Amino acid sequence: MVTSIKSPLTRKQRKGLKLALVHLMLIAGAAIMLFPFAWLVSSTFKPVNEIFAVPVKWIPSTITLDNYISGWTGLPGYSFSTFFLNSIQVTSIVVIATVFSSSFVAYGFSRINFKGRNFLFLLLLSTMMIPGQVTMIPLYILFAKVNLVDTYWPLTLGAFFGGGAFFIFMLRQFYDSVPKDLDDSARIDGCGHFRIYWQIILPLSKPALFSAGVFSFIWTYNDFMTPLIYLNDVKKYTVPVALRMFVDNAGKSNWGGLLAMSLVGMLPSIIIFFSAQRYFIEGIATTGLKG
Amino acid sequence: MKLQTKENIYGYIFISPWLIGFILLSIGPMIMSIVFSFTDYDYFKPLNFIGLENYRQIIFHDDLFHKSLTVTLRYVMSYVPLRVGLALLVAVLLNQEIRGMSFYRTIYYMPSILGSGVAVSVMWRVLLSRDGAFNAVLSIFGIEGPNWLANPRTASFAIVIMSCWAFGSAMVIFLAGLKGIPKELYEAAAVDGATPIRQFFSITLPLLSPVIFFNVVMSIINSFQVFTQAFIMTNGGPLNSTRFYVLYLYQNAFQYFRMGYASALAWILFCIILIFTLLVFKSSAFWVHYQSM
Repeated sequence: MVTSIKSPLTRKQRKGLKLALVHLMLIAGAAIMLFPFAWLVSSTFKPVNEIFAVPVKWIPSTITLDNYISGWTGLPGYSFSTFFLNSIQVTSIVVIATVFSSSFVAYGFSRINFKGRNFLFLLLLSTMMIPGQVTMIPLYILFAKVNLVDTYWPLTLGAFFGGGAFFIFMLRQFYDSVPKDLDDSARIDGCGHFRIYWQIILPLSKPALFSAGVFSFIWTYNDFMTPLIYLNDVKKYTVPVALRMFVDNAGKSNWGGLLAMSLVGMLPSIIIFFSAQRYFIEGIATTGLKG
Repeated sequence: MKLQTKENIYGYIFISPWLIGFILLSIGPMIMSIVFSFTDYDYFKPLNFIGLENYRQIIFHDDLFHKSLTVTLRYVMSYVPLRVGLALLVAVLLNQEIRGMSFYRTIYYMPSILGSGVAVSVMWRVLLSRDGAFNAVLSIFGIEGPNWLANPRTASFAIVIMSCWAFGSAMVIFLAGLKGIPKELYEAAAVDGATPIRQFFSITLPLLSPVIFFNVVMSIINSFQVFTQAFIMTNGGPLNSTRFYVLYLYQNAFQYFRMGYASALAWILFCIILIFTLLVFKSSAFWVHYQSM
């Protein structure tokens, strides 16, 4: 910035002021962003009557674990352990199937120049714009006709077929950026596509696979509509659906337990996020722009 | 066997999981749902064709359809600019090469990870209640907050705000895009006497426009499908002010079992999203600048 003779501040001071302003805005914003979450954490350790106290009581008068206990065992006959186990079961299957099937398909789109490739890839991309609702009803009917409603098949089947256009797209972008030298030398040594995929490309793409994995985990774990539609037996409920049932049953009376279980429900996402943050950021960067 | 033929075979083998899934789980069901939309299918009776009756009913006689469409459109029109705008603003701020950048980025991105799922919706539902913490904070500034989710005039807005809380994923995409703008451009502009504001509008915005475009399109497509928040927080109330389109669709399909009707609703939604997307695409010729590499 050019300072004029009239300005009382030096360039350095103006830069410092600008930085301070930016920091101030960011801190204020961060406080706003964290506020709901901070309130939640604080509330779950409070006795219930303090949750709605005005002004907001950030530090509880007594730290209590009652909310967690009552929430965890809250639904008659089931504890949240069941629901967590269910969620983990479904999510693990989906993540593993997605990672492998999407990388397999992506290899085809990236490394093999086959007839119709561009057209099919555009078709793949266009499916990202189709709202799920147009297939939701027929899929339900299909699964119902083969008696697979109220099982985990509807929740996991798609993962074996590529796991969705997003992951195939993301991995294909990643593969495109991997130099073909290793492929070529392997081919000279007589390797076919399968071996190149399995022994060269797959190990090389661990970071991208990880990114796909964490996104897949978060989306599957938090998915509500699919288990809502397909699961009838409470024993099979995943965390989101269980939480909703908790809202309906005990929500009016057991606010503390409800909030505690919501927080616990958020924990897997948070843990994955903090331990694998870089994979989220890099995964997005790989897709969002070059495509 | 010719090399190209061999490559073709391998190619199709590799993409076969997707291709098969596409036919079985996408195209097939899509065709089925078009067919359903011309019937009064309710899962129990056999298929009975009624032609365009569903569509006629929806467009001309269904007040709830019109209401849900209006509510959803208003939601999309508020949510998309707010979310993209916030994401852009914060990304630009974060890009200023300040210390603690990754710390801030984490905080701003984290809500996005929690998604708009049930747990988050529950949290906000309690937060936004009349005696909730949100109003408690407002009262510090002397504002008396309404019962956000029980007031027909504020409920939808409350959901917009709560969904925008998760703008972090758009922000991260902007951050990556901002990194692609060479710093020399800013420095050259500064030498020419351009203020930061001018730099933003003349350098940042045009060069970032493909990314803005991407974020806008994805946000539109996603926001038309808003469901979980409304389902958990208000169930369409009060007075249908949050009966979003997909919520209405869900109720028709899985609570009233009017599957033919709901299929027609789904295809109308698809067309609407398509029109909006095409509009944005067409408009992009005017404001999106692609760098020729």
